[in-house]
Amino acid sequence: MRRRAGAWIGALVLVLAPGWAAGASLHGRASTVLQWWERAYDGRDITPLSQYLSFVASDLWQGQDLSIRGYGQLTKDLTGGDPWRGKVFYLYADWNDLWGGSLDLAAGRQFVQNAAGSAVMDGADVHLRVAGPVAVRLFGGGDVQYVNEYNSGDALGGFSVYLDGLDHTFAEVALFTKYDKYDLARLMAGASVSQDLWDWGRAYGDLQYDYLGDTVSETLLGLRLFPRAGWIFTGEYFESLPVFDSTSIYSVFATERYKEGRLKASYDVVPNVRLYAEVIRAWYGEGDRAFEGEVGTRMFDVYGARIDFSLNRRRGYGGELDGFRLVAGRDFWNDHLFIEGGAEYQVFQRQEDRDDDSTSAYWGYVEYRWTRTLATSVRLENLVDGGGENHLEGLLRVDWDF
Amino acid sequence: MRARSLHVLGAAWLTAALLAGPVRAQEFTHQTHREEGVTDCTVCHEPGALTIVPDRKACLDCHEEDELATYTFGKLKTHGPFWATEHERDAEASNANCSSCHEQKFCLDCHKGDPKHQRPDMHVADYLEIHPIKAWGNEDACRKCHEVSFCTDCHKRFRGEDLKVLSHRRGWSDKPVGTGGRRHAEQFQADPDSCRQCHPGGILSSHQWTSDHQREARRSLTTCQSCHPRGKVCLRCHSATQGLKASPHPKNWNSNHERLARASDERTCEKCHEPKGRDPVCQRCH
Repeated sequence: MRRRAGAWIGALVLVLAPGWAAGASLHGRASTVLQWWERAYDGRDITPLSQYLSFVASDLWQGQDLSIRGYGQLTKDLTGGDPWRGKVFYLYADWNDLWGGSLDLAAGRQFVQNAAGSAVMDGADVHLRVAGPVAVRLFGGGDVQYVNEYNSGDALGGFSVYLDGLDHTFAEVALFTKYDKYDLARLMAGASVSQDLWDWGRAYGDLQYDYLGDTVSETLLGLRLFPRAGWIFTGEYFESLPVFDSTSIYSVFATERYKEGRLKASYDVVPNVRLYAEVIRAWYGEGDRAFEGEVGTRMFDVYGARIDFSLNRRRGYGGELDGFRLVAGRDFWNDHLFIEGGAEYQVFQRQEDRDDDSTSAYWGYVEYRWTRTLATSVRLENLVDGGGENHLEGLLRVDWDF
Repeated sequence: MRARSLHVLGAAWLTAALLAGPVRAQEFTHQTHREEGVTDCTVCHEPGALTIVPDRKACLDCHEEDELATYTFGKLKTHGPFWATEHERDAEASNANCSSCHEQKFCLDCHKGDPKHQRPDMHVADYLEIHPIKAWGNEDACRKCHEVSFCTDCHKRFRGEDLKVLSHRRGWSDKPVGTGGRRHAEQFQADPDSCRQCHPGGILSSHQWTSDHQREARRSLTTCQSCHPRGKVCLRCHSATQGLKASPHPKNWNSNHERLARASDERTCEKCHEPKGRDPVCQRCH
């Protein structure tokens, strides 16, 4: 793992060095973050100090759309004896419009996804526009798992054919495969479509098929309507079945399909005030069901302030919930200062309990922008658990944009 | 000749324009900006703004008010003013939709590592208290953002009965065998094959635990995997070579297990079964 990271950094330096010599540009954000909270299972105070860096280096090669993009984290818990730990979320070269503008290439650590699956990989991702709006995509590389690191035989790959650049239509058919120590762990097929219905709606759907388990593992059908100005109606049906690697014993176990239906309506009373209502029905099999509902309002830019308020309710399998959420925030001093506060309260009863408990949270957030490129923010939050105990947690952060 | 043609064309254009009435507004497209060299999205879309919709002030930095009046702006589809709290379904609904416009950084800034708001809006109040209600039966929703270790770091430190999972609270392993005998767990350790003396054919007596754990496992198998990553505890009863030899397979297993078996080179099968040539269950068909 460490050797691979060194290889990526070495490659990065090799690519960047001539670019910088030729006047490349470098932009990004460096964030220093100190957090503190009380760990639930042992009550210990945790205070991780983290340094984040995200950047994009462009104009590396005159006449070429080539850039290097990276995002990583170094962190250490100041209250523990653990060493600094690092993660590279992504670090890849992004080279577009090659071969007469028909080929895009991304190489390095990156997040990839197609209609059949997604992963973080160390590898290459190629898009080729074949004819008209039709494009094909091929990616492959090492399967990155931050927690378990990865082995030499952990690999993944994907292939898809899709429509690129159409204003009102998207369609993709795809394959996705994963290997676990050289054994075929997953082979998924997927399709994704989205079609605008003139100017009054959109229909969309996703389908994933697990080839090794010979079953449809995920289905989504949706319809969104904009019948009149200010109104949006959404209806969706969703099904999923967990997929396990073929190398896991869990892949041979019987599982239940989760199903969900959802209806939502929202109405913009005036351009800055939205009312909405949503109901969800979930089916867990063997007659067990749950109902969830939420109504609320979102006010945006009311005398410069944003105010969200919602009421929620849940009944059925898993447990009961009733509560509200209120968030209000506003910019001051020509956007130099942003202040936000919020409160949440929930009464709950878990499936196996007979008594109601309640939990709540209250927080305040202040961000001050010293200059266009330098900002400091503080967030303090008090959580009140089911037993009525308070748990204070917070965050201090300095952002520097360059 | 050329001048006369121009006059004719001009007159035709003027007539058409007068007949058509006021000048029709043009529809705004990003393409025009790109062609004019405005390729930095943040010129209009202010970083950190509450909405993806550019502030009109951003337009007026470069354009006159009169010019803006000649444009119409497309109807918002996925990026309404409160996109930040509503985008989940859009992201789920179409895998390629976000990536067609956004770099992956755009997603990862919030969903991995950047703790500006510490937790997403869906995690209300003290979510540690509430999460079993939401996760019950649909842990895949948790897995969309969290790695497995996020759950196991905490769950592995709890005793099973403290997790308030029904099956774990009524564990068979602590019950005595018969009347006043060893605990089931001790009996299993001493002689795994003795289970079938009391439970012929892998059939359990009417313990509530039997149906509870089956229902929980079928709905929440990913939760089982969180604490039992290799599933050894499952194999005490569900192995074909020891214990109760109770089959955990789905109903259509006979017709669809071949692909899984081939994919792992039958190594997954052999966690429970003898190699194919020797296992009597496999020999029924193979």
